[in-house]
Amino acid sequence: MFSVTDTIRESLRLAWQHKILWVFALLLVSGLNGNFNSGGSNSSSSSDESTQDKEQKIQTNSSSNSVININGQELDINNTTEQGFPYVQEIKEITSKYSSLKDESLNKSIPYIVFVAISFLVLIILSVGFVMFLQSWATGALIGGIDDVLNNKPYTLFSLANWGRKSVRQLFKYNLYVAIISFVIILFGLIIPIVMFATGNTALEIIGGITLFVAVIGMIIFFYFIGFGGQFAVRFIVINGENYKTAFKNGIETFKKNMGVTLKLVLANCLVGCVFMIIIGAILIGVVGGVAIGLVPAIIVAVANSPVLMIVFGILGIVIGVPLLIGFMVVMSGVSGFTTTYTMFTYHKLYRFVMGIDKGRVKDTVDVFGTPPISTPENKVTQGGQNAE
Amino acid sequence: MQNNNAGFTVRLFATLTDSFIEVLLFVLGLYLFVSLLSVENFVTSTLNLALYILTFILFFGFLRLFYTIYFITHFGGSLGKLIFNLKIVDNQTEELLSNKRAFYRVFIGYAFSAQFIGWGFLRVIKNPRKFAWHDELFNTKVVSKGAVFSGVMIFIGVILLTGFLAYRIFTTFQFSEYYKYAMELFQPVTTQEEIMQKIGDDIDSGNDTIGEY
Repeated sequence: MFSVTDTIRESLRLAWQHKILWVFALLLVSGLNGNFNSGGSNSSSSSDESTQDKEQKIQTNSSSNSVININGQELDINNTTEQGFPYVQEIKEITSKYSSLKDESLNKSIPYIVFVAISFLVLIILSVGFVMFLQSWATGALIGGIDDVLNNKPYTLFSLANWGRKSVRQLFKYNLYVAIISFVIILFGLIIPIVMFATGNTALEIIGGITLFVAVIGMIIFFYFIGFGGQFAVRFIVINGENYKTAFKNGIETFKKNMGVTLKLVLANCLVGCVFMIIIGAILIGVVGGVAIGLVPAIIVAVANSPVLMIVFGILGIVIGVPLLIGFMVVMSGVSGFTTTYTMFTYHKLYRFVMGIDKGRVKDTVDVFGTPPISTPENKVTQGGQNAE
Repeated sequence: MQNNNAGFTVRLFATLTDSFIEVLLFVLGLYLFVSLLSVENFVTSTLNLALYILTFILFFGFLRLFYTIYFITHFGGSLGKLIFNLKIVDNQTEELLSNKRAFYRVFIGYAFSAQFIGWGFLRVIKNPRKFAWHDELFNTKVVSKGAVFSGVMIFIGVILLTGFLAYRIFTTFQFSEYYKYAMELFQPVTTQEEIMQKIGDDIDSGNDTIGEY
């Protein structure tokens, strides 16, 4: 019988004891921190709405910069004296400068824009690939490390790295496989309703709405199966050395056969998660409160307007603030690493229960899905004896 | 020749040298592009300059990864490490690393060591064998093969050269002309805004001076 409370207690203890596993957990959760600067273009014009409205009333003819249209009347600037019409010279300067630059900019920038867009796309694909690879390695290393801990085997960073290296390819393919399947399901689940909505026919729109509702429910259930089945699937890959497609199928099957106990564990983890959130909330409140208290001297200094006080409090702020910030980042990383490691421990204990490992009765994945057990400790000697005979 | 494991300080300076070499390369490229700036081809010049900066920022990270792996497998370390007479080798055999191992060490190992504000790198200080986390993960070590004095000289030289090039960029004739033109182009926005505002006000107030002409 799988005991959720014992599992939680044991997992919390083991996760706390084996802190090096938190680093693998952090890599699993965050991967690489990538900042993609999209570099949005900033318009140099700072005109407000009212000016823009009024600008619309004055249109320039791009083919002939001397002719402008004001309220439907055409005016050739070159034929108008400066005394007869105000701001002629300024308008000439503006229109000639901007319209020639605008044409030139638009024509010449197209190849650059295309090149940058393609580069950005390539960069995103490469980055996603690298992050997935890193997370796959971290998953293998973490699961391997947890397995060693539960088997009371000693481990080193080198042995954990080897766990990651052995299974990184299959885990990477598995993640890619799941991503593609998810994308296809979402795409086809949404295409049919969207096409029905686009027809404009009320009956079809109603059918489209119902289809969309059913599709969304179906997607939620499917991702539910993938998500929880995936906890078993990754362990089949890392521990049992299975191929990613087989592991995917077996993972979902294992979840279906053990849905009750898995959901109990998930709910229990949610409750534990709530406790962690309260702890994190308390830390955050403490930090915010500290910052608020720290602002009081800053306000006093600002009011006093004394350069000496500003320098003193500035230095104090850096001396106290920087270590506090670093400490806060370390604590938050630690909490994230600990909670992920703890969760992985719980699912690994569930996996070992399902496979009968903890009971001393070793099962093959084939056994889990209905065929007779291949070998057990009880009948190993008998088999050996029979073979000898 | 001493064959000791390298400590934290020399490894830090080797990494800083790598970073400054990258900055130097960037500034060198910038210097070349700035020398090609012209007011007559303002748009093309601006686009080329922007493209260079963007491409460098976007892609240099990946190029750096592959160049580092190549140098580690063929020479035993990145440029910064070679300058400081350091070598990355296998912990047991003291041979150079394979491509796969170098890739894992650089890509995964550094990411691992960078967690918890770089604690894996700082471990070199306390570890008796001067191993960082990425060394322990992939069974490597960094050995010192000679004196670091030449490395320090080159490090200072790289910084000075970078600073000199940066100064030259901002004082070059083409840059000052280009900058002046760009400022003139965008500077009178406010004045032009006021002009447009006045024209608009005239139209709104029904001042039919246009109709008269």
